[in-house]
Amino acid sequence: MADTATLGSTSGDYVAPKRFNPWPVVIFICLFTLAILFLAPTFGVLLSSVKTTRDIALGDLWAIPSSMYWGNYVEVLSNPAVHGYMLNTFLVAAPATAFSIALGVLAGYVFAKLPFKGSDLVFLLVVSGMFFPPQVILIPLFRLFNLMGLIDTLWPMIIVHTALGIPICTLLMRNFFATVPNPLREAAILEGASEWQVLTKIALPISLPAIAVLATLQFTWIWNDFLWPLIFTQSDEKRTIMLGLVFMKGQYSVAWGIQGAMSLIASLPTLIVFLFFQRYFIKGMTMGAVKG
Amino acid sequence: MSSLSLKNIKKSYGQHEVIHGVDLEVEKGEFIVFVGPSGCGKSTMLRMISGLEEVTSGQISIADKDVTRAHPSKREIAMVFQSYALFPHMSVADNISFGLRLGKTPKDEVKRRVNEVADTLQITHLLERFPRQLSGGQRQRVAIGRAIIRNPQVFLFDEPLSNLDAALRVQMRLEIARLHKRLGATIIYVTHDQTEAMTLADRIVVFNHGVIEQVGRPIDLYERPANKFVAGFLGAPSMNFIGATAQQGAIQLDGFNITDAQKAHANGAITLGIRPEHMRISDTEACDFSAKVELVEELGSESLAYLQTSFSSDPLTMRVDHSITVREGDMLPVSVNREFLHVFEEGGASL
Amino acid sequence: MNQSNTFWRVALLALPLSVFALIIIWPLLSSFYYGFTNWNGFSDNYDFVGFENFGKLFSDRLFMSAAINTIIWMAIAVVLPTVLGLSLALLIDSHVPGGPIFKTIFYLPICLSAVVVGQVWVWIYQPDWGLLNTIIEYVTNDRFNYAWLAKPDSALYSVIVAWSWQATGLSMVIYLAGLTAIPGDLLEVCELEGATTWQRIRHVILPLLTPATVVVVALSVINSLKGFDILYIMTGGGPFNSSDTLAMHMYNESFKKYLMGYGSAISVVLFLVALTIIRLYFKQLKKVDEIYG
Repeated sequence: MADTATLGSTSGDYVAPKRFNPWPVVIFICLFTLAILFLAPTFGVLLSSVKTTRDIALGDLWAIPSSMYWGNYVEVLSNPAVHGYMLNTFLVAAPATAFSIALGVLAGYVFAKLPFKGSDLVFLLVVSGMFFPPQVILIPLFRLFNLMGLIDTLWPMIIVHTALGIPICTLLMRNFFATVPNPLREAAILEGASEWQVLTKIALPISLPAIAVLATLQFTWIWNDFLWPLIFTQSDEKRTIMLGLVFMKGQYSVAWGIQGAMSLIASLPTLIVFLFFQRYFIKGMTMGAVKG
Repeated sequence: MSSLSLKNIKKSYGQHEVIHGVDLEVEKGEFIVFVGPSGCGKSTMLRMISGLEEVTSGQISIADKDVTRAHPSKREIAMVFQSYALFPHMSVADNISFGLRLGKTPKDEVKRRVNEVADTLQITHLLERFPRQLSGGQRQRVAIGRAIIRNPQVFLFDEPLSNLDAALRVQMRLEIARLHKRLGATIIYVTHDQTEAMTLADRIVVFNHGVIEQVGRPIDLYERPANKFVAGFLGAPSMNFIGATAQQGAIQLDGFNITDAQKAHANGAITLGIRPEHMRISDTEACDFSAKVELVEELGSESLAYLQTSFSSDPLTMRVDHSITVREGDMLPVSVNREFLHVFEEGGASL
Repeated sequence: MNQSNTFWRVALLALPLSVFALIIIWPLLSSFYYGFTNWNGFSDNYDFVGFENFGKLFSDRLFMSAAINTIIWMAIAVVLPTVLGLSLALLIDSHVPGGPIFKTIFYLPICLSAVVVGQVWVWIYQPDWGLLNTIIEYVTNDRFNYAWLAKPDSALYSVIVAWSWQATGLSMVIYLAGLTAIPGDLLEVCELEGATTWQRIRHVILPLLTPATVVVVALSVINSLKGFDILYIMTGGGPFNSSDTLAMHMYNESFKKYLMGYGSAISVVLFLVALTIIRLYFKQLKKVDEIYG
């Protein structure tokens, strides 16, 4: 057939309209297969959470369940320790998110709208803080909070996450404020606004999308963090959910179904944030990365 | 009473001086246009009057008060920006009343004054809308409204029409002129468009390289430019310049019968300036020179003919009435209106 | 204006910069200081030991193997998430039906915590009923219960694969952003010139994606240096320290053995490595910016 002959041909000649183009189908099948592979791990957790430990041990984890078993969720949700973990994590993530964004707004505004000699260098210094492994500040911070008697409270985590959020928040806010036209600031100043009023009444309301981006990013990162709670907490009462997850693994060592349900519940807040604010999430990730 | 007075204003960025001493007195109610090519310092000058830029030295007074070091908001000025600078998250009414609300003006007074201004500009129906929902012309009017409500001593306009398309620009130009008449306000208006300058201004201030080249009524500047720069900048198409020599006031030019145009002080190398509208096709045999038509641009109401001559390396531009047909390649006899002949000395100053 | 600008600069920067200095810069600098001591983490007394800790690094077999493992991790991180992310981005960018859904699926793991990802993959590698061995058994039709994470030969690589699973999504969205930034008229020129799909990708799209590639590679390398959480969950650096990385080794020495002086020395090494990479990254970014602006 003439049509199939042109499909194989390369450049040069004019290609007649095709009746059948296999590429979209091939691409779709490729993506579909990869998607299943990518989803498999997550799907496995979902499956495990609705199966009994016995079923899993017998090697039935990867089969579609004939009946749902909700006992794992009941067990996890009725465990008061889990409530405590969730509450602790929230008490760390919410203020640390808010504080880091607030500090990023302040610094980002100066770097974007009130640059000074050497401000680019200071900005670069702050932003590069984003890239260093946290291990390089682990020991001095442990010593600092130990001396202050704050180990095994939520404070060190709030403070450290606030500080660690400054680079990304400053970067994103500066880049966003830079897109706010200078005449807006000047018009406001001519009308009698102080710099603080320009920031709060003009720049900030315009920048709500950037703040939404940061809020999703920061909340997710802090919620998911493991290293800092591991260093700063000792008692079970102060553990965050990710730490709790690891410690409860010991308690339910072979109760895989319960572990699955726990993982899912622990991930639920970030999953919800992700699914609802995916657009912001992706924007923040790429903005933070590309402009770095 | 002087509305605005600039005394020996200088501005430098580091070592680099960009404004080299500017003096200007503006009467109350005058419409002043700053014009010049980009980078000539006209916008910087405007921003220094507004207080957004600081002066390096000199004195600025507004309504006879020294405001050289005053905060922009305390200078009793209002500014309309090229980009309009409307706050995108505020309605038109909130944009107009922003300054009043910052100053904690009572709510009903804010409302009354907003309505007054909206009435003047015929934008009452737009008050609840947001800038994004407005056309370019409407945004422009809101920006002007935000300036009017402040009741300033001086209005500053920074190239306010350059973001509009050609048709709207003409319309808004008229409207600004009308507004000026109605409010009787003092206006400083910056533009690089000489048509805007000619049509709007009571007085034009021509800037170049950080100095004022000439100040005066548009027609004076057009007819009696102080120097070659002003002569070339004002008028479209611009003046033809021809290099020549003069001896005791008699101008010598090969192939151009012009020795009769006496300029008393002309001596040595000079530049001759002829506007395109001051040349015409001679109907008698007695012409000043003959030229070959290189190219014709038909503009509808008139045509522009580009002429090759023996005495100028650049083609000369001549306006031709549309009733006369000119073809490329024609040899034309051309005569020049002696009354409007300009002669510039080597440094560029008018003789 | 100038004075008031200076006032606001100071007022607005004071808080963010002092928090940053106190919690990030100061600890960073004092890590160098502690690297020269034998502090044990608790006592108020410690001695200066000079370069002893740094000298010890070279004779520490575990440090050397952790360093090698970190290099292996970096090398794989340069290849795996980059190639996978690029392929996925190109496939999704071809206007395939369901593109946005595929994008979400590949990106989803990024919002999971390393703890959860680690746990999920522990199950994949589980010898008896893990997905990997189940598939192998299904394909070969034979018993197979290799313990991926419990064998020194495979533990590190198994963790890196799990890590890449999560990292691919980020590479993909960066590449997708890069693809949308390619001006449409350039691709139309390809069409007019009669380039094949492969020629178009090879000669136009890939070169234009250079800025994205710089970012993807740099982020992968930098993030691989941070590899800790997932390792802690999956192997804890074991078996027999076969999957230790520098970050893991630093944690073990400092918080398991309480050799905080020695741990600080390791963290100084970590810092210097990161600094080198970041400087390379910024330099490369600048270079790319000059060409692709």
